[in-house]
Amino acid sequence: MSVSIQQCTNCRHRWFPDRLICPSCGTTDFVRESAEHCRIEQVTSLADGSTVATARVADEVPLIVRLLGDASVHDVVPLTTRPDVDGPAAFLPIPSPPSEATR
Amino acid sequence: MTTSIIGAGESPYTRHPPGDLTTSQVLADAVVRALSDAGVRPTEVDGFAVSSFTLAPDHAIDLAWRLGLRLRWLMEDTNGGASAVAMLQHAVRAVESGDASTVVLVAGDRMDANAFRTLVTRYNRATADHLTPLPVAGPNPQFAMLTQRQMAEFGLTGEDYGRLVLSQRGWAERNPGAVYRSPMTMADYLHAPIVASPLRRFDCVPPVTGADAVVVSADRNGTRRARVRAVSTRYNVDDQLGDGLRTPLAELSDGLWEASGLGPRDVDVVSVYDDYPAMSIAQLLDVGLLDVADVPGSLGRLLASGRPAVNTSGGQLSAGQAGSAGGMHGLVEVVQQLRGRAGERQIPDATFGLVTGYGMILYRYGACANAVVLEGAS
Repeated sequence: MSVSIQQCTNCRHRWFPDRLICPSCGTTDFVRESAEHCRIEQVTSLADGSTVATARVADEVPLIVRLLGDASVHDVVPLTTRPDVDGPAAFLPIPSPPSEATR
Repeated sequence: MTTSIIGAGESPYTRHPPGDLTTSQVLADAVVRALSDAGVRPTEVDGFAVSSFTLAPDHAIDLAWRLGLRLRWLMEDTNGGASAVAMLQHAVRAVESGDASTVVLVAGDRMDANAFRTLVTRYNRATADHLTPLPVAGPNPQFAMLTQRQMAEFGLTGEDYGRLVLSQRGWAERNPGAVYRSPMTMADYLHAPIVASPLRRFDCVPPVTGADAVVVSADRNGTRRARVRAVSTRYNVDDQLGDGLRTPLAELSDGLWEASGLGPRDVDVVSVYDDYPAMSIAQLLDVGLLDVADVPGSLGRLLASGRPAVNTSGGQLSAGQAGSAGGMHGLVEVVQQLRGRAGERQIPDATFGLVTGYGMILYRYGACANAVVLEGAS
């Protein structure tokens, strides 16, 4: 399991959601990098019983994910773009095909 | 040149709008009320700005046309809770430069269940692509987690947030325009259903239909008015990479107070943008009304003292959130306080006021914030 994250080819900063110009160095050249895991920072339980979390990839890129299976704050869990996998995992929706062509 | 707000009006807020009531009609009602309050005829208006999430397919020029306005200055602002102060900043500069002499600013929406669902699921591309499919419908989860971070950072408890909510409900009891006016106890607050832990029902604004408007002009002696002493805005100060506990107000606060010639303790009445209690606390902290070393204690003392009085309309948490009018609601309230027209909730001798705007949740928290310092004059 993994998700695709945008990375600046110049300064190597990673971004999610995709940017059009790198806020860190101002260039427009990006590549896609595979991110396999994220660390959970906060968790909130919704009225419908689902669990949403703030997580970070490599302690850098903040994400909003839905937790699949049992996972807690500080856990490192696999990232997935599929909501139907067995947990523990973090579901990060990414449209396919993408809603906007980005590199 | 000094620029003032000389009139204000609010189209009555309602949770259940009539089926045939449109956004344009609600906005027009607020404009008519503000012009009447200012004693200004529509033919005198030469500047106009609007903010609305549900005005489409119309835009500012369509609304101006239907309002019969012939203009030299026109704008449309899309920044939600930050739109009121943003439009005011532009209007002040327009009057100062001579591009317009009498400007009407209006914000509002017909915000029924369908409109709210459409708004929150397609708020921006990031929301449509990465949040709505989670699925979540609206920003409650993000602000629940921001509240957790704030509680951990400053030692805040549920009772601290409750004190703020109850204080605002107390003001709402004296505001006939608030949609929720019944007395609330701490037990009511703490035992309300969880929406997104730790947020409970009364931490979340009730969507309503309504609109707010103000009339801006060069200073007019003999008119009860709210002079603009200083206004400032910031956008996207951290690329959504921070924790959201400090808003862009932290960056502009020192300059705002210096430009106004006042300090935070000089103001008598404050409207902070209260989409969630955590954001009210964040903004009060950013503008210097809370002590970063003792946020719970200084919040309690501020609310107990009532100086300055905070969110005297009841705020959006009790009065309601009329879509894009959230920021304009706070502006109208402070203007009316400074003009001595706040009815049962009037702050005696209110002279100076502060209004903040906050909004546009790009992914994790709001990216826009602004503030204006006002002075009552007659």
